[in-house]
Amino acid sequence: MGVPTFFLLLFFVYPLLRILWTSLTPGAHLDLAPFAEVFRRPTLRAAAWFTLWQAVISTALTLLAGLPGAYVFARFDFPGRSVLRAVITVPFVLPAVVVGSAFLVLLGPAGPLGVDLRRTVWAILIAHVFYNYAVVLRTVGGLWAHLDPRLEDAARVLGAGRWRIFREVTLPLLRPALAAAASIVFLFTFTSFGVILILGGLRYATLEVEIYRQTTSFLNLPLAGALSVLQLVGVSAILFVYSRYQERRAVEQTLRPARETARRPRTPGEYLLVFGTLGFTGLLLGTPLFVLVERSFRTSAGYGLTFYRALADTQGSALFVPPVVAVRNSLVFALAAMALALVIGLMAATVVAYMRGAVSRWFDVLLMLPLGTSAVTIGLGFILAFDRPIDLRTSPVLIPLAHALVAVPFVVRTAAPVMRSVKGSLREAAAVLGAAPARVWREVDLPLVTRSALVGAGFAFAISLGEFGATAFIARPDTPTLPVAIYRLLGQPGSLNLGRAMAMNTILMVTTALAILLIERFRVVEESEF
Amino acid sequence: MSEGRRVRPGIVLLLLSGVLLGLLFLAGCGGGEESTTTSAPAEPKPQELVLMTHDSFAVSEGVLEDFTAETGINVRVLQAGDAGTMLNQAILTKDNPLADVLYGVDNTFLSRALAENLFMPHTSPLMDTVPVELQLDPEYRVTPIDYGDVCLNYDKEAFGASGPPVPESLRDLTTPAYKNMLVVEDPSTSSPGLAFLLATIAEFGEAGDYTWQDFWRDLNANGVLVVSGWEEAYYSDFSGGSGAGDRPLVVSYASSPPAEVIFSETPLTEAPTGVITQGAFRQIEFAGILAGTEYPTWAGRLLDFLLSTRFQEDMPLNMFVFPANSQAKLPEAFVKYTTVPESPLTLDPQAIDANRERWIEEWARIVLG
Amino acid sequence: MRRTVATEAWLAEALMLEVKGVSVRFGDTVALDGLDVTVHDGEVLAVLGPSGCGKSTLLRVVAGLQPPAEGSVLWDGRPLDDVPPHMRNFGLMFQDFALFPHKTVTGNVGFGLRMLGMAAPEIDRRVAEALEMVGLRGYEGRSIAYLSGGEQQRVALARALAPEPRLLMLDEPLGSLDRTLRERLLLELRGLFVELGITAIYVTHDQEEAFAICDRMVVMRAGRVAQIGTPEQVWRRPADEWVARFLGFTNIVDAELAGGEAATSWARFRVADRGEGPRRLVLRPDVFALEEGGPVRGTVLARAFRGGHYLLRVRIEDGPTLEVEADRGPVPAVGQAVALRPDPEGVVVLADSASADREPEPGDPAAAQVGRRGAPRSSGPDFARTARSSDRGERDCEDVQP
Repeated sequence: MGVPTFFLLLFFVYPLLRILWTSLTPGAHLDLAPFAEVFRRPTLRAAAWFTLWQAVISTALTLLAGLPGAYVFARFDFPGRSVLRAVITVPFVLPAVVVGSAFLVLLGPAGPLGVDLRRTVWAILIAHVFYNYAVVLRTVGGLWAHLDPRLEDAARVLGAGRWRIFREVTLPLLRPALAAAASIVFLFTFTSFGVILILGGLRYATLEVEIYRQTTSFLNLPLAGALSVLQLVGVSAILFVYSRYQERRAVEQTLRPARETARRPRTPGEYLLVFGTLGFTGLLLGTPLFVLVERSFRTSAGYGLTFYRALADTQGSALFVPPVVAVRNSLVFALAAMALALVIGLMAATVVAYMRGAVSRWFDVLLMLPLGTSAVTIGLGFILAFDRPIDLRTSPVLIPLAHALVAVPFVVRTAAPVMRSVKGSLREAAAVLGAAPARVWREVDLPLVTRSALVGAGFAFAISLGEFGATAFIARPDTPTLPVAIYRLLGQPGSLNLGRAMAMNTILMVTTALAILLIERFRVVEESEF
Repeated sequence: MSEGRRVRPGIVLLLLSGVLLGLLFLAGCGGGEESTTTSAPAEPKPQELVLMTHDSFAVSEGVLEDFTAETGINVRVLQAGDAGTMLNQAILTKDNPLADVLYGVDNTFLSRALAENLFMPHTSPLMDTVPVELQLDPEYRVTPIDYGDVCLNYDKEAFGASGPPVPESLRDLTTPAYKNMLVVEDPSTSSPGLAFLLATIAEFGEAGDYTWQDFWRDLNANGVLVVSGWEEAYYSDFSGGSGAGDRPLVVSYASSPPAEVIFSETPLTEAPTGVITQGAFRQIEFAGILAGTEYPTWAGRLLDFLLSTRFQEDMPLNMFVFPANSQAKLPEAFVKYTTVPESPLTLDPQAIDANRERWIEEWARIVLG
Repeated sequence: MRRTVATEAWLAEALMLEVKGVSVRFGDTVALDGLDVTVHDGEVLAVLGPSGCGKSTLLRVVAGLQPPAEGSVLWDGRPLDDVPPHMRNFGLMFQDFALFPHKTVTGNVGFGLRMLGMAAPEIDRRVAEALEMVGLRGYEGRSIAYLSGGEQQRVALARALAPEPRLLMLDEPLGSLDRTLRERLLLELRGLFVELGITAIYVTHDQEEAFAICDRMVVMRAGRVAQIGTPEQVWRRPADEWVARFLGFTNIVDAELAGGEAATSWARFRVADRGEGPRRLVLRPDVFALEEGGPVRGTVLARAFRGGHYLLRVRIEDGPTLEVEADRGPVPAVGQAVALRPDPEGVVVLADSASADREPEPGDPAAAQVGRRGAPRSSGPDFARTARSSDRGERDCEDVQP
């Protein structure tokens, strides 16, 4: 428990307290007027309410949309499954400005839906499902693949219909993963920023957007601080309830190797289910991705590689780098962030899974909190917090640290449910056979959660690959990552800039898919795949 | 497969985290280098100066190296997010600044930056070359480095022979001929958006029989589209140049048409977009020596370098802004493909700082109906 | 709790494990209540009791997985209080086997050896030996998920045996297996224990299993020892009514003892016990002989063939219904009147009425549980086997008695 707690206290709680304290004490003493201001202004009250309800609906829609996919990917074996699974994670890394541009086309009057949904709440909800679909598919699917199909068989023999089996057997068993996915999606959408700005237009603002506005446009740190506190309180309350619920529901179960539970579809109904789900996924995720890839090849003279070739030409600027360099920068940061998130996340997951009671609950809340905290607030906190004894404020080391902070919850949320499900007798058997506690963890827990932890690691990697805020905040200009390069290209007019940004975006997509594939191919345990 | 030869993941992870922690400390030490140089009697000469700027900063290879060749001092560029974020960072760290020189605070934020006492005065010997109208701080705590005019860009294909005439003034935009043609940025999240709002305030004023509020009400009735950022406005909703939308008028920069030509996928002889010089708002970007620096003299040298023709002539094609140094030669494209507004609108920085929040709130009420 | 002189003498040798006054509580529930148990070198101790009596908790305490609230565990005279489970070198075969699903058969069986830091070739050799021992040669590379219940049980046993633990503990190891397999494995296990001279604790709720496997047994009830003794002692002389009922003896009657004769409201018959006054008697089904003019008279209500004998339900005139084993001579038909004579030596006289207060009342949860589940189920066919198994146990016990 020590290491993750230390990490969180040093790199999250401390900077957060520093910035909040500074923000809320403008005249060297605590000023609570900004809080009154928050409740007085109707726009801010509206933002708080909108933040909550859009997050709830986005989460529900994402769960609903993701469950069939989770089932199909967990229980059926079909050609290209692992590649598709990697591709589904791609939206997760894409810059909001790029995704926004695809959605503005698709949801415009000339789009396939035929209705103009631009700057409506629908656009926001659809984009949130697009972004977070992978979270549900991977988190829930991860546990689903390990559920013992015999339990469902047993229920079927007992005369339960498919729907009843799902409701009374499968769903309760999946609950830890469902809750984990829901909490992550909720936090992501609760702190949604780019999507809201671009697809929601003027009418919709989350607390995150308001915090950004107050901070950067009005330089009103006291009000931004008050909003951040409000956001934190809301997130903590919801997380606390979640954490209690989680604990009550924890059940040990016999997990089966994933390989054993998946099979080819057999009946026409199953084929229909598999193809229907894949079709839906393709429509939801594939169409925007396709639009973006298509644009990177579309030149005035038909399809071609013009923009990719143009990427090599860095326009003589010291700050524009060839794509290879941007890819390398991104990979280095992402690997470091992933390693850090895995180490911290697995330790934290162990604590969450082993411990009971109030301490564990608060720890759990604390772990998730970085996901629900305003990025600009915590970024400014970093600047305040790390000036001495060693000045880390402009160090690139902060980038993987900041990314790991956001990625740790993913590792915890994917690994902890599985770890909770591990039968206590397995650990005891290892202990009796002579394994010391650390060895027990390494021999029993670690291999059993490897699969799920790798899913978490994949997300950690993806978060870091796609992250822009922290990277732009503290990056050295001569080491831009892929998203930073994309933003730079989009910063100026010109078809070549747009085309190159799209080409860079496609490279980002391919890099992500390949990386996720590779990460999941990784086997810690050689002897028996679990 | 025997169990004895297995990879031991725990050890691997431990090693990885060890390496990471090591890196953390190395980097930490590296960051502190500038403060450990041997001291000379008057003011020590640093090995490195840090230039803090916003994320739109760009410079050609070799330019900053010329400063190094001249002085023996390396320049480390620190991009600290967008202009607002950068300024926040500078304010929060003013007791122990992140950099020696800050470049990129504009006239909309100037008053606030000065009020926070971020900068120490410095009069550049090159100040004579800077037009007086750019010199907004009489105490020279900040030095103007560049300017850019936020103005309307129009899609040449949509106007002229085939369509309505190009609008000539802001007021024209409220007429039925230009219904549903304009896309602008939200002043609360976009810098050109704010500049355009300020332009309308400067143009119509807060009092009289037609105020800026009246103008925006009319604009709103005439179907103006407000989006959150420049990227969307230009690329997704504007129809001209590289834009893929359906609105032929957008709030952008006077330098956008040259950029369209320079960054065109196919060689162009004429810009696909044009600028409307009426109703332009001039953004002036300043640089200043951060008050907490240990090397004010050398920081002053860096500031002078930013105003030198070497840097000033490199700027336009990298950041698409106009040089403050009037002796700097403009690139050919800037002369050929755009028109510099002759009498751009401006507002007193103090008035901007005092009223920004109120203006934006009023604006939002009008636009949201 | 009565011990014979013979067992006391044997017990004096090579005392290895001592569980002294161990109590374990889970909230308000008392799992172990000041329990004292000992195990001797090379001895197989069976722990028998209904579910929930604390048998598994006892194993967990000995293994070090459950710290006792009071009392301590000693090995060879040294307390184990501060020795963590992985340093105890005890083997524990879990009720659910607890096989590592992510490891192969070799990975499971070799686990303990690997923890000992053994070299790979040595591990491979020992794993092969252990698998040979449990008859699973050639299963080395198999995945656990694809093994049948019986195979899993063998792997679990091999895993527990492979590091050659000082003490092997088995928690209901045969619980989930079908009867045929269970009986075969029971014999194999017993053979293995004798052959390897293993010191073991065998936990079960099935008296048949306990009788067959052990040298000595502990009957547990609600966290306490109800009786300790050789299988024969326990079978022949249940310590109290609860033990008798748990063993499946339902013929328990009130009688007045005087001058070597027991008088009930429905019959008078001779007993070997010389006690006087009111007592409760256990009449095992096999103590009756069908005999013209026998003192106990009744009518056959039901008759069931049990392989080696018939089990009769006999309605006693003005008295209870008794279970009677008939394995000699012509078997009376249903409805036929019979006369029975209990063997005076076989009649078990329980503690006198004064101490009978401590016997389970109808409201006692433990008693109710036994009455509901234990007794009726095992009163049938198990009897015969119990008798036979106990013969074995008896012989084994006699082997080691001086």
